[in-house]
Amino acid sequence: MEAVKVVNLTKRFGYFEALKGISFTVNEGEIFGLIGPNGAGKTTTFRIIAGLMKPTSGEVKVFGKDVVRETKEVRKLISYLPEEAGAYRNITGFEYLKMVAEIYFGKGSEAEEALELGIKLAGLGDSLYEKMKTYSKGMKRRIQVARALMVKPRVTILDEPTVGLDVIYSREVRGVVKDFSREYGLTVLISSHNMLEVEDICEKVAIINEGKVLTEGYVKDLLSEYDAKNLEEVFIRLVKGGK
Amino acid sequence: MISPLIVKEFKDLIRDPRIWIPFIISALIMPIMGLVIAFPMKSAIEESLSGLKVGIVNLDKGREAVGLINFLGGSGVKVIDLTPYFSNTSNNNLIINDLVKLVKERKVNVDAVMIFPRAFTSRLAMKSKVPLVLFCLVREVSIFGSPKVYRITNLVEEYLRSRMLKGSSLNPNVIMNPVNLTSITYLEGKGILLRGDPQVVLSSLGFSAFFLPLILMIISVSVIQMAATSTAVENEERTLETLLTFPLSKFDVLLSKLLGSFGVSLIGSVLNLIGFVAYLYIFSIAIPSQTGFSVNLTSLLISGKDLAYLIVSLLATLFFMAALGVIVGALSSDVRIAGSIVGPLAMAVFIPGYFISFANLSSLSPALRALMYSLPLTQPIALAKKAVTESLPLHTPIYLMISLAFSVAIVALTARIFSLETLSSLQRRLSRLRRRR
Ligand SMILES: Nc1ncnc2c1ncn2[C@@H]1O[C@H](COP(=O)(O)OP(=O)(O)OP(=O)(O)O)[C@@H](O)[C@H]1O
Ligand SMILES: [Mg+2]
Repeated sequence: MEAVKVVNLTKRFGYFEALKGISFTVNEGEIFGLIGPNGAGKTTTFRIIAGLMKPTSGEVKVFGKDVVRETKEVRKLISYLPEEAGAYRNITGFEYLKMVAEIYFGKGSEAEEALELGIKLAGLGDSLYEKMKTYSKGMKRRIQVARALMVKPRVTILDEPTVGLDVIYSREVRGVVKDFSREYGLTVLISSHNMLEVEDICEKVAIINEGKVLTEGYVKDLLSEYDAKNLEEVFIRLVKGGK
Repeated sequence: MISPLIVKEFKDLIRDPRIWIPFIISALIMPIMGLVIAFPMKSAIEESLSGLKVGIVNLDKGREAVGLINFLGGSGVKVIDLTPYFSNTSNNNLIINDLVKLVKERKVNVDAVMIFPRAFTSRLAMKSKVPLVLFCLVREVSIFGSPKVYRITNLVEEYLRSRMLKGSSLNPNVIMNPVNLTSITYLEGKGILLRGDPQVVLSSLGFSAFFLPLILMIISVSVIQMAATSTAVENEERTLETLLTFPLSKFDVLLSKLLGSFGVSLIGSVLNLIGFVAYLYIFSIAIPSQTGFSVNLTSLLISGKDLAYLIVSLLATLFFMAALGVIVGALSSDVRIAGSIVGPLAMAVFIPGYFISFANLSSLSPALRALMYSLPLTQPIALAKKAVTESLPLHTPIYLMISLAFSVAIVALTARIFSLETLSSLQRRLSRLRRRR
């Protein structure tokens, strides 16, 4: 089943066209990577899928529901981790996870389950009970990843989930996301400008640049199609070939 | 599920020292202000009654001058004879010049100097007006500076009066106060009779009418500030975007923000109220007769129902202020910008309230008056003025509804513009504008 379908999506900010007709499809249970350099339009695309921004034209559907006309239904299906997600200074990590669980599920066993999963995913130990202003960048990111995943959304959108994390932490987060998706059969969309990282976690990618999709497909297929060792080579070939 | 979000807003605010310290400070300032005003006032009054030092330059040397000097001495005034310094002059201006010199050289230390001209005794004997020069030294500027001098002139007048009436059957006390006046004040709007001078009654009423806007202003400014800060922090710390993707409507997000700051501001208001009561209490201990009277009077005059209306009106106004703060905070990319908008805004918001506290409501046109009773900015002040002198108008519940509706409308309007897209483009435009400057 198609989890996310983007067709001919454009977005204009004043006279500037950030997205110039983007299309891609993500099937249920896949981990999909949207990759491209800074300013390519990754965040804009994700914000539109999450219902935070309105598209100028084109169509975006999440499990068949239109993000513009059925924003409310779509919100219940997805959870979104923004590129820059801060933390409430005077709230503890635990309180934050609890709040999110209750916002999604009210008070009950479902909320408690989500909270338990969140605590496990965050893996912060006793620091979980300290105010978030004492957290390092990596700890804040882990809380956010845990927060996004613990409600077991049909579609999770992670905008550069490993930004600002060191090598070990990034690996760990990638591992968590991979296991999570496999275990529950859930769809995940990840963006990154680190092509090598994406190879490690995604089975399918779309490479975008300056608001256009250069290519889309399974990583294995792309590598053989462009006769490349890794996605970085694919990207460079595409950009040079285009000029 | 909006309640977890409200709880979070509340916790986040109440744990932030930047939020609660201003509340504590403004609550403490009031009793401290009471102490600062009341105790100097009290000691000034006490001081003026004892240890008065008066220098005497007696050019008259007659019987009556000596009599007055003895009378002053007998009334507890310390009299110091300075006549020897001025044995060879009788010109007042020269004497004053010399006195200034003496004071400058610190040869004399007095509160005042009284100069008896040569004609003093003879004029008094002829029962005509008596010349006397009083030279007063002021060492310090204070609101309560004059009682000392009053005391001297009172004593002098008392002595002269009794001397002039000597031999007649007139009673000096009756001459001074020929009427035994009993004033009764009728408050027409309330149909209440009060024993006392209208001036005293009205000034006590005015006292509370003056303080209500003041307290409202202090609390409102902190509510705007708080709501603006807490919303701007969501922008600054990049938490808003996450918040907006939760399965909540934008109105819900705003409403929790509002209710959170509103709840915290209620605590702050209670603190402020306690501070104000402490202020009144300190005042009433220091100067018992006046302040105690005004407090009792005010509570006596406002009926329970009117008081309840007033409280609802105050809450509606606080709610409105919180809504304003949320708007300002949402449109600011960081706390600093929010702060710089809140200052002037709080001032501007108070102009109508200020106007109302001085204006004569009954002289306004009916439409304008209804507006003043309905706007959250003016309503509590207008209602309080009315409640103190009369009863609240019959339409008060309607006015309260309008005020609340006004606040809700503002919140709903804000919810409409409150989207990541409009906010980010607004902020971009704002920062571009600032860069251009
Ligand atoms: N609110 C906005 N108003 C105007 N222009 C915008 C706005 N948001 C994004 N842009 C522009 O749209 C383009 C795409 O931005 P976007 O954030 O989607 O890129 P990205 O691929 O996420 O980049 P990065 O890797 O740096 O995060 C950029 O040129 C950016 O300046
Ligand atoms: Mg981005």
